[in-house]
Amino acid sequence: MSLRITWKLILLLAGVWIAGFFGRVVDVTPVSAQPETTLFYGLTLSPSGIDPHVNASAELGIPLRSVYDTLVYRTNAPEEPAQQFVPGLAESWEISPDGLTYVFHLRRDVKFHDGSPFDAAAVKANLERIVDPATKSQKAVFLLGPFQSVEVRDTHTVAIHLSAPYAPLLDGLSQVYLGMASPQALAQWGVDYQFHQVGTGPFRFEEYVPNDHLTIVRNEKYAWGPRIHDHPGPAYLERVVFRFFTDPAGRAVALQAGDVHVMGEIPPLDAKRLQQDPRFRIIPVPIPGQSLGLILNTQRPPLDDVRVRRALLFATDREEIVQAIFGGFSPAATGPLSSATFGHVAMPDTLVRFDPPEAVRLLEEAGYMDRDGDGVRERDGQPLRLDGVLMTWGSLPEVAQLLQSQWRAIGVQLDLRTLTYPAALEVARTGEYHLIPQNYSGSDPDLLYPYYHSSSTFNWSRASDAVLDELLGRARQLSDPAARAALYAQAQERIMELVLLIPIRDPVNLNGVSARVQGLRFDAQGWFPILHDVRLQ
Amino acid sequence: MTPLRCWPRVWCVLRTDLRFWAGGSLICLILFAVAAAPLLTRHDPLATAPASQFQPPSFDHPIGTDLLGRDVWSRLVWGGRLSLIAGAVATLLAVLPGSLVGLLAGYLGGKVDAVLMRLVDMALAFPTLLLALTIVSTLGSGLTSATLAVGCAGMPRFARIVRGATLGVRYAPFIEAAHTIGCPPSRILWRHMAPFVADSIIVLGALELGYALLNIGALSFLGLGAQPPAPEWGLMLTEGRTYLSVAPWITAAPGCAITLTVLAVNLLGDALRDALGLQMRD
Repeated sequence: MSLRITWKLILLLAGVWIAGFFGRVVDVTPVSAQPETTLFYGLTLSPSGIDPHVNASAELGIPLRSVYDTLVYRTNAPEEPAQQFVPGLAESWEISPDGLTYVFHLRRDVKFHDGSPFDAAAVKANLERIVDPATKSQKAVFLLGPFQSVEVRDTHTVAIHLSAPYAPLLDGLSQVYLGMASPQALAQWGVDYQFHQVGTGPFRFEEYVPNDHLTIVRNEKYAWGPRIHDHPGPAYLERVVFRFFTDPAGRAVALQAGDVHVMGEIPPLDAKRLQQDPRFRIIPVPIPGQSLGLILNTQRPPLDDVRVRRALLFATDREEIVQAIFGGFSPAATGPLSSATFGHVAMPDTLVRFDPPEAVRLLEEAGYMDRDGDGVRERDGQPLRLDGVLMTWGSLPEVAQLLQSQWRAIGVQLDLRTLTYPAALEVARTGEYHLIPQNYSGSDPDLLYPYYHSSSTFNWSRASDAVLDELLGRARQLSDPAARAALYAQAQERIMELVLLIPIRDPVNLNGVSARVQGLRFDAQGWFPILHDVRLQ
Repeated sequence: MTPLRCWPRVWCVLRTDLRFWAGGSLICLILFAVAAAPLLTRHDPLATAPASQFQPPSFDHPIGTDLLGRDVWSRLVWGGRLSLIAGAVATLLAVLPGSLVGLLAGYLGGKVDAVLMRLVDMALAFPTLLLALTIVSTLGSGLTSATLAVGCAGMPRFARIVRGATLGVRYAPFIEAAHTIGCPPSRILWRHMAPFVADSIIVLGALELGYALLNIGALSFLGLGAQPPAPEWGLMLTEGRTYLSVAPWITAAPGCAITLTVLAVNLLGDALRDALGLQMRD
């Protein structure tokens, strides 16, 4: 590098720095140049694929929830009654007493965006596409549970047969991943379908340019909206343009610069700042599903000793973490489920609390003492060192560094390594970790089954507990919500008795919203906006 | 051109060069701060205190505190040790084996040269950082593997340049003479050829240190180098970036430290180059 280039570099940096100030002062609002019926919406990551039957990201559902209708809809908190299923594309349904057959009576007035009619044959084509191994479905197929077959009874009656009772089926059918696509378009586009999606929803899919934008436009003929919409008929907005903002540091800035009207996942400290600004609102949406937590590998010493695991749990000051890193926007989690999830129970103090003296007592009882005075306890010459795997999402590096200090105080050393998601999956498969983060969202507590049942590949705690397996296995077969909730309460307590994870916080999506946006609500999954009801002023 | 440079004469040129004094004093200042870290800081660079997060610069915290309430100044000077040592090690890793390969290829010529240089060409086809990224993803992330990766990625450039310099003297009369009086090849390499290419190695080495610091910082910035809570400069940049609008000092401090160190090393390298009268291919 010659001197000349060095000076050029300095000038360039100085220029960028000064330009930064102008960017703040001059309020450039490209949004206002657009007609008032176009909403700009900021997405936070660029999904690798956006076919809802194939791909699994929450990000794809944010735009596509408004492109597809589902057989049923799930009501959400402000609506009464909350967490119930209401008719969508199905006017009514019956469940056989043995829980093996679901019969849906479909609406007769529904047309796909390409003009083809929606009927029982379309439902059959969709479900058969999802369960076809060639589709390589990452999420939709799991929502169908023990699906066996689908049967067309007449043009507007369809029956789904299961091989075992599966209570979460309606919840699955209410999700965008089981949205009903036009069989004509599916056949026409094949693997390219994700760029040419056709549904029945309030918005038509117009264009998707990966890493750049996704546009949906109003379906003028929409007249079959579910009860959870605030009005029947077409949406208020003409067009919604989604753009990608993968860098958290740039999100609040983009919102303030007027690049978007709505931005998801605003970093908590920026959210605090935006709350002071009358031009914006922060809509915090609790996300149902798992709490953000670190799964403990119960097969790998020293974590094979439940006393050591409980000591870690009692040494964790979750309040401190939530206050420092999440700005107090998220409740501290006490168990494996976030408090927005159906069936969630808060854990009693006996199971989960911040109690360092008790943590120290448990470690000493387990035989860990600091004899060489280096601040780390050891037993039989083996220091109490843990290998923590991190990923870059969810503020995990920050969380883990606070855990490091908190655990250091009781003589536990936590080493950290940051991995990409595929590398972390590989580590999870081999079991060479002590702690690994997990945070999947979903509205049905049955998501505990894939993550804690001993038979599941995602059981990263590697626990194999007959009591827990029995609870999770039985709960997914019951149809009575109250009876299910009771079983899930027991399952959550069992998980914390065994200390299979260190819960940290309930995920909350901090949406930054321009004050001009009216009527923005989110559905029962938490992630997905109901764009049909949104207006711009 | 004489094979052995007159060092006092180099000094005569250097001491009138402003770049030498600016770069040199900056380097001395940085080295002093880093070496005297325990004397200059009052806080443990790893001690968290979430209650005092994002404090602006004050007497107690000269460059404020970060998200976890850690003293940024302590992290900066303690972290300097990590960054500078990693940079120096990576440079040595690039310089020593790279020069050896270059010397051998240039001296032996023929098939050895052809094979070694085709391998070097292959490695040079990738941008340095991309090559380092590839190596890190095989070795697994961590400061050690990042240092190794950056060192290895810098090696081919050295091999290429040292080979060029060696070829320049390969057929010089004094080498022919050494052959004629029956010097063994190892003696010719070390006593007659190595000193001749030494000055280009020194100059390039200084510049390489700048690249190495930047590249290790870049790898840490991407999460592939130093792991939290290490106060490595590149990692500190990443950590502060999210809070740029709330607490700019967290990012500014390591950013300035990297910029100043690389600038100082480059100034020094440029001054040395001119003093030694070398024409570098940039």
